[in-house]
Amino acid sequence: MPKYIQYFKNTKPSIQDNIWLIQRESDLNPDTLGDRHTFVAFGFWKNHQAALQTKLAAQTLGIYFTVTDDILKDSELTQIVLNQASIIAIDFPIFRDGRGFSTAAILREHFGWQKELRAIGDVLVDQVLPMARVGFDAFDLRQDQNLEFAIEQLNRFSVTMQNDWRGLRTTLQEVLA
Amino acid sequence: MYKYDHIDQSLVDSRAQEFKFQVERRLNGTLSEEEFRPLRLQNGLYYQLHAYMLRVAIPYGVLNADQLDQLAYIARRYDKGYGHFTTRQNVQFNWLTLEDSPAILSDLAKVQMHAIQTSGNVVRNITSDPFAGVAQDEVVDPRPFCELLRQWSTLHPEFAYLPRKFKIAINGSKTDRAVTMVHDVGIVLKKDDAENVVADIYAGGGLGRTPILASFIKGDLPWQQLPSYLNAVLRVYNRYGRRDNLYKARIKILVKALGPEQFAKEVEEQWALMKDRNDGFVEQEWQRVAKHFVKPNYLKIPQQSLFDIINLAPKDQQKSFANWLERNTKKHQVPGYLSVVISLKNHHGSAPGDATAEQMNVVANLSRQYSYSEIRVTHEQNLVLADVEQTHLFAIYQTLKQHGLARSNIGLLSDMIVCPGGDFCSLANAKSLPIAAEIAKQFDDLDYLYDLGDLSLNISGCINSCGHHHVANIGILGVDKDGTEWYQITLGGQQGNSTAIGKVIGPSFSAAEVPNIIQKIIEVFEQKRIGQESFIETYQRIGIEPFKNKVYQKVEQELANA
Repeated sequence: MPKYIQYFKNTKPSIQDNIWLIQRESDLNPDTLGDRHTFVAFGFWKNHQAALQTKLAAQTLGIYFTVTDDILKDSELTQIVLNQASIIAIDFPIFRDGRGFSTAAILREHFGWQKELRAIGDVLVDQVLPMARVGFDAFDLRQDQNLEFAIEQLNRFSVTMQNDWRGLRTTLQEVLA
Repeated sequence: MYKYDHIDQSLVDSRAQEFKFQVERRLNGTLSEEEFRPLRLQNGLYYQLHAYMLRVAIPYGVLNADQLDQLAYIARRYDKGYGHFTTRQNVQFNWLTLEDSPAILSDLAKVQMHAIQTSGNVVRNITSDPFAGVAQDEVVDPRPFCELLRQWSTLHPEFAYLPRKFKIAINGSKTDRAVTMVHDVGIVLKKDDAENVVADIYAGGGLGRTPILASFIKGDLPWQQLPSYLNAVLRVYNRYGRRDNLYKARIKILVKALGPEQFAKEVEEQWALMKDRNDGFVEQEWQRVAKHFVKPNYLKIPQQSLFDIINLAPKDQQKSFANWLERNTKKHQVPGYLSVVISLKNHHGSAPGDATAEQMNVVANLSRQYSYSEIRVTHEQNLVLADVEQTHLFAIYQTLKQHGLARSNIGLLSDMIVCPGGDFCSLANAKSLPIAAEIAKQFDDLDYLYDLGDLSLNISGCINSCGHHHVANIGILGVDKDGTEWYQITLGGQQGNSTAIGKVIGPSFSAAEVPNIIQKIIEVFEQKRIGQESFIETYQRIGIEPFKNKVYQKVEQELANA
């Protein structure tokens, strides 16, 4: 069974079994998805909303946003997805494309997304910490990555200089303490 | 100056540890160079032509004597005995190994220094006025704001992988000394009618291939709201900045494409989503930082006349000392004090901005003795002792002179800003240091340079424009033509309140021609100059044509004769 890292807010990061597949095919017949837990792209969902409705309601369908999805300009459809989905992912086509960080922050801050937000794609050990801070709480790392290293990274810093999804910046925490 | 508390120290120590772990993985092959690259860059480590180069952050250009001594130690222990101060008020070491880099970062952490975000596609070291806190024309001391924003920008999780680098400059004086308008974001601090500090925000300035001055996007922003507003600016940039073309990825291209008004509107929309959260700086955070920037206990000493100060020197040194006073000292807020600029230009043939380990120790000791143990780095690649009693000036001058640091050329033609160029940098199209050396040789006569007066000449070895050639009165840019090095010359650029981008004079020149071409440009200036006009004043009065005619005269004659 493939593994991923789960790091819910106010918990410790841990390695878990990953039951979610990622379907990247865009000209797929949605009826062939079956019962497996599967992520499809937001764009794919937009084109096949009716056909995917049962699967979404059954919570075996996850939706992932790509770097070109603009969830603010497309906020109505985004909201429809968020109202029904049990899990959302953001895809990193290449680790150095940082757009997904802002997408995650907007999902958490603006849309108030409370459930699981998973990083998928070119997710590397050295990016998981900032990802965890902007709002990701699950990491499906690239296959060659060492998950123990990733957990070490998530635990490395004990202070922060900005507010983030997980808490207030350290200076403000100390003021309020 | 600011001193770390347990929060800052913990962050820097963890960061050094993290980098050690990353280097280990790189060296044992579990991390590829492609994936290591942004990590090392975010820690200031470049791979250059000959070796690794480490760029160490000097936040807003302020460092203390112990830090400068530590830089000298690093220069001796790990490098070839010198360091290079940069146009972004940082310092670079050019001859390092990857294996030593974690140890260097640990050595830096011991004196509260680091190399975080001195490179890479992140918010870079924030730059400011080197005379902050002492300048006579200061409206707001920018240092506490710089420090608060240094902290806010450090390891900001949302902006670790921006489309390109992101540079912020802050100025708080009537005169702009931070080239604020050529930054991705320029912040101008001022006071409103109720004496509250507010900021005007400019965005989308930059040099490089497409030099543009920043556009005004927000006025009178209460300083406490800088984090949320800058978050909004960066979020718009992170989401919409171009990632398909390296040369079109800076925020200036986005601001230009949208238009400043539309860009400002997008930022406002983002800001509306976040400004009510508790991102804003609170009073205790202000105190935590501002307490380090209270004025020192200046003595109540009478303001001396220039005549009295010059008389500190023996007769035979009075002329050279007077020249140094005129060029290398700046007015101070407090009577009886001045700021001293130490020229790192044109001594013993070293590269502009270079200082040897010994010179660093000398300056560190001078600062201990005479200037509250504090040193500033200017974007013109010089050093500053900000708080010097007038009566100590001659003693300082003598010590500097003994160590080749008393060149009296601040603001003169030989006070060149020069990037490391093709001798070190893997991006460069052409060498810049030998050109600088030739020009320095040609214009070696200080009396002549004094007569020419204020004149900026900057050199960049490629269009990335690290040498700020666009904003020089005379700019020289190295270009590559079919594998050979050529130099394009621009005229009429300037920094300060009337910041302007220079105009290209015409076809480029070979390296050998450059000093002679500069000579011709200066000759036109001398012929056309009225009274004590500065070069830029003459240029603005007569335009580029007379210079062009003179410079290309011979070529045209040859064509006519042919």
